Amino acid sequence: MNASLYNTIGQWWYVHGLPPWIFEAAWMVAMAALVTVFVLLSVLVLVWLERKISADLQSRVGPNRVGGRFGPLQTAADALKLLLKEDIFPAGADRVVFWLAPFVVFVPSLMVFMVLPFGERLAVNDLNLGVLFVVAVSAFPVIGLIMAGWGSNNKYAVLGAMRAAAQSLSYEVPLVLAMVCVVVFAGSLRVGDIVAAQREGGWFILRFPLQLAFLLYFITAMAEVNRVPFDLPEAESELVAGYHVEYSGMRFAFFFLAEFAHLFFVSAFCATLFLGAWQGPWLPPAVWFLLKSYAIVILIMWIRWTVPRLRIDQVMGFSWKLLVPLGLAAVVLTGIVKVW
Amino acid sequence: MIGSLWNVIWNSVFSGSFWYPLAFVCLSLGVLIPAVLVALSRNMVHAALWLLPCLVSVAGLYLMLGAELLAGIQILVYCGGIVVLILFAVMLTHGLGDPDVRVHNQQLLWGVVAAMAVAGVVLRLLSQEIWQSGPPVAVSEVTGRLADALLGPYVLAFEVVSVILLAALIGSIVIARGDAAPEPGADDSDAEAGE
Repeated sequence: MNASLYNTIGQWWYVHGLPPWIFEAAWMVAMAALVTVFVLLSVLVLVWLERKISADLQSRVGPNRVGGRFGPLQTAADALKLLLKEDIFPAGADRVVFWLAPFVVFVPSLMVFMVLPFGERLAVNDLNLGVLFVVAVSAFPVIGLIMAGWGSNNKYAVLGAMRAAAQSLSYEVPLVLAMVCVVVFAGSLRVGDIVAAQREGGWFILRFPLQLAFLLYFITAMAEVNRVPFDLPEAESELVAGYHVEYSGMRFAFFFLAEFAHLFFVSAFCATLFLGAWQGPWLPPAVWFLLKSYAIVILIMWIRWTVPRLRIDQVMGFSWKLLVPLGLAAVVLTGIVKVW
Repeated sequence: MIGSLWNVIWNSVFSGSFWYPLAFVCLSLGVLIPAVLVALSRNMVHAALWLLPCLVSVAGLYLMLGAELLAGIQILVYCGGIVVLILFAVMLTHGLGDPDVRVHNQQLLWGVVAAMAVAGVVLRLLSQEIWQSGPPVAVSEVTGRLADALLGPYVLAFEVVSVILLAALIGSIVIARGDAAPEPGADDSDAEAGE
């Protein structure tokens, strides 16, 4: 639908003799706006969901006033509050770095949504090297976290940032290895091809060696979005709030948005790589895609509110001593099965 | 005169041929200006952070040349890996953020001589090359062909590089271990000391 819409409008444009680059630019802006709106709405839902699930798991009620019995407008009220709050710059802050950090974290979190397939040919841009694009762009926010920690001129923030960077770098290795398994199996880096390969032979989670890759992806994804048991960068009891401790108002909201956007993205990408993306009977493709994504989101939230936090050396050791060798083994195994 | 120049610019804007050179100029400035600032920043963290726009612009130049894979790898390895590691290393050093850190030394003469020599060699090489001009040729299946080349004719070079990297990895572990028994959570205490 996306591609056909593009062609229809594009043809109209060419027929009327207008310069094609204006259409291209306008299309890009429109798609970026669409992605932004989708992400903002998703985050509203996700925050509400997180509160409801955590309340359920802790035998509480959770938000139940704003906007009706289940408090659906609670997050909107919170967003409004964050918008109205004072924007504070700490006295000793490195102002430019402090100012830039939220954007360096937030923008890549939006960019990766470009390759998500909401249906057949229904991605903003199904890049030729989609998986590589995702991996490359996801590497950016780490620098934003370091900038936030350093720019705040606060020891808790610096510690949180160092932890975030160390953890993110370590878990990126097994994450990429898990994705390599899928790429090897599908024989393409394009997300559309990976989904097509699952249509022919069944979801990748059901194909023999890829269960290991799924497990690796799931664990590392939880670490990448800094969720318990891997939430060391913002461990409240040790670091107050980690790298964003000095941020307030909208700047804080940017970190918050980026975190939940990333949570949704890793879940949706998990559904894409392993659960057949938009494929399913009866319901429209986009609905299937959202259902699968939210199933993974809820699983991650469930784990977050169930298990305790690890120590930083345990987290690092777990990645380098267990997940990386497992990832290498998974790649070799996938290669053998694929060739055989 | 000015009117016709304006016409040329307007026509190129309208037809779209204006944007490719413009993007090249912007990206080149995006490489060069941050590169100078990396060398001139007194604050070491700022110097490391200036690497970021520099390396991203290089990735942009790769994209303009139609080398998407190279651009992706550039972002992944340099921006996501190397800059983060440099920032890590910088944060463990002393005198961090001290505005009086000197960025110049007494070797101005030799520095200029070395820079001129390198510039001369580079210019010589560049002037000997016969440059193709025009838009990049679209090559299909670049990734697959690159993979075939790496695992085919260039497999020996590829393996040699990986052995060198492995040696560097083992060497750094040996150095980091030191003589004393390694203590758990050494990274954390280091971070605190650096801060």
